[in-house]
Amino acid sequence: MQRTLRRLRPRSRQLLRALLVAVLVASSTALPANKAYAYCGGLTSYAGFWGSGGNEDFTDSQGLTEVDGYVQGQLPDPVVNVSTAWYMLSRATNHGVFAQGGWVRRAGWSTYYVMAAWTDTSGSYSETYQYVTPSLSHYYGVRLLNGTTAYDFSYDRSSWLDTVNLGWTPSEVQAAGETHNHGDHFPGSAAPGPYVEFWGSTHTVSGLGYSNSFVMIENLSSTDVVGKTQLSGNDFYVWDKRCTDG
Amino acid sequence: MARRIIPALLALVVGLGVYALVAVLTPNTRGSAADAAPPFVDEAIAQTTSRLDYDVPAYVSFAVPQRDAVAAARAFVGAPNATIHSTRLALHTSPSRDRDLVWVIDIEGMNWTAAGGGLFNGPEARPMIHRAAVLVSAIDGHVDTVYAFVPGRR
Repeated sequence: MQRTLRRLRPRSRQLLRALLVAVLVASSTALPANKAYAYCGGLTSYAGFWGSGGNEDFTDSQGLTEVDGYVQGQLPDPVVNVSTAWYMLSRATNHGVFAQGGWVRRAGWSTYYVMAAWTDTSGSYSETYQYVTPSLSHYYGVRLLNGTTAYDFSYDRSSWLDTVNLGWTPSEVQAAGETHNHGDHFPGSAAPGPYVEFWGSTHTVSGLGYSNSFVMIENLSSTDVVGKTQLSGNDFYVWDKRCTDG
Repeated sequence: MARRIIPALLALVVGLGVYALVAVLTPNTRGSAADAAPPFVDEAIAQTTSRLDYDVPAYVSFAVPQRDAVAAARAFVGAPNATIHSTRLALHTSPSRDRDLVWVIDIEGMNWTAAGGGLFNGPEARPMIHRAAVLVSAIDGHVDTVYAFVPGRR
């Protein structure tokens, strides 16, 4: 290397050194961008419910059949109980019935699973998880199957699970991140950073697709945990206020 | 020529017969015969259009032993002492699975808050899940699919 440098003219040597320095500086400044996880200290464990996201009511426009959208983001440790991010169809007049699709991660798991959860009119509750190769962004969908009260769940636009008839039709869409324990990591981390973003979501009414216009809501337990920012009617992100990028 | 072929055919028939007999007499490698129709698993999967076919042909081989699959299921649900009600080899079919070979483990003992529910369904509306059908790949041992079901509460 030294011999090669000596053979070069002084001007070329200067240029080569400048180039090397530029490469070193660029690689060192790029390192923080690769940092996957933020630090989330001081999490304590007590049961409750922390959730934030959006809803939209279609009671006045019959024919709601589908909701789809992207969930982008990561879920760093710790997961003490369960953390989820999802889209769902429900009834504005009876939130006890729902069909929900997204991701779930429970305590002890090294990754998330694709999740579907639903209820029927008798009050039965089901949830199903399926293994997928983890990656940053996925497109989730929940669809009422034509002429039935059965629902289809899709992942990256491919169906992965169908329910039997559940006995209800939807009139509301929701999208949210949530956790059920104060010691859990709420979906997302510090903002700006690896927060969880819900974006590009649409709903279908009478066969036609429309962008969602979510009204942002959160539950009362969320004040010390949930950060949220709405960028537009179908684009918002959430993060855990207890995390820093340190 | 016939003298050579007939003994060879006989040997083949006898060999296949012995193989079939061994497969029939060793059901424990594919799950207990008493668990041929695990009711909870059937009930859970009946909430979907997915299917489990327990009639796995004897010639189908698996790489993951039953005990390893059970260990994977126990670790997944976070309950080392969970009760195993049944373990059966089956072919799993769903919209995204085409007769995948799995161990179906009916496991009870976890203490999961239901993951599902909307923003207006607080913790009081979330049932507890203590039992599930955990499907472990019999090919590479990863937990592939979980079916949990809590019967009607109304």
